[in-house]
Amino acid sequence: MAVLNSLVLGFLIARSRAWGWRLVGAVLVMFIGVYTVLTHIESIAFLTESALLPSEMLPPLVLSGVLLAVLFVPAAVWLLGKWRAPAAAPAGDDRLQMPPGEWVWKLALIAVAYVVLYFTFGYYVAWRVPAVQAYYGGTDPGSFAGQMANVFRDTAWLPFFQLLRGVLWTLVALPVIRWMKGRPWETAMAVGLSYAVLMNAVHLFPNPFMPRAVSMAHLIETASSNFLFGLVVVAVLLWRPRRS
Amino acid sequence: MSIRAIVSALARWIALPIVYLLCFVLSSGVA
Repeated sequence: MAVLNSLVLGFLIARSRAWGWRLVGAVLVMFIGVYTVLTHIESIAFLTESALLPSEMLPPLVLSGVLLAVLFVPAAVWLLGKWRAPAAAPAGDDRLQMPPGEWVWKLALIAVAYVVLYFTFGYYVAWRVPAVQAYYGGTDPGSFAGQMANVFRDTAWLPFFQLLRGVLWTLVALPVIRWMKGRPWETAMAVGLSYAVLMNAVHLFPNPFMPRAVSMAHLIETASSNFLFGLVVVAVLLWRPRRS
Repeated sequence: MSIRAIVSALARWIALPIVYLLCFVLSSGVA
């Protein structure tokens, strides 16, 4: 976990046009956003409600996640020699400069894409594993449409909650996208890897709150869907529609 | 790029997971 997370964060730091506190801030937003905020709002929605994770466990988990980020990110920026401005300042660009209307439709499109990926991978990759159904106390209705009908009947709030999460995922990546060097595909890889690794590396190891089969199903489900979602976020945000 | 610069860059990237691990242990201990 240390190797994967630190290499992904190191990649964000090494390939950023920013330096110093601005760079620390950009990477902190991504790290705390994915590793702590987006992970634990999902834990609150699923695990604490069903008593699978004791609610008193959450504050220490959140605190340790934030502390880890606050300690590691400045150290990594220093270690990779990005604390001071480079001798030749990198050229600026106009990434993410767009009118408010374009922000609105792009964020809406990304949020819908997240919900589609979330439920598609959730059903076909995770929910069809019997151990996952047993863990959450559910059954497989036999089809994706049947599963969505169950979702709207039992947890109608969930699609709307995931729409908001889709927007939140995007917001935490904005500083990294804004200041990343290189071509858009490199930024897409960086965001995809950050989404996939920072949230899921923890599933590589046994944990006391989840059987191994459930943990592995979630690892495959969310690592693949998060990576794809990262590509979508960057593709949509950096796509420039022709203006007349 | 000189040999020295390559070794220095390599050492920094190798140190990164070790620093991460130290921060992880420290943050888990405090929280």
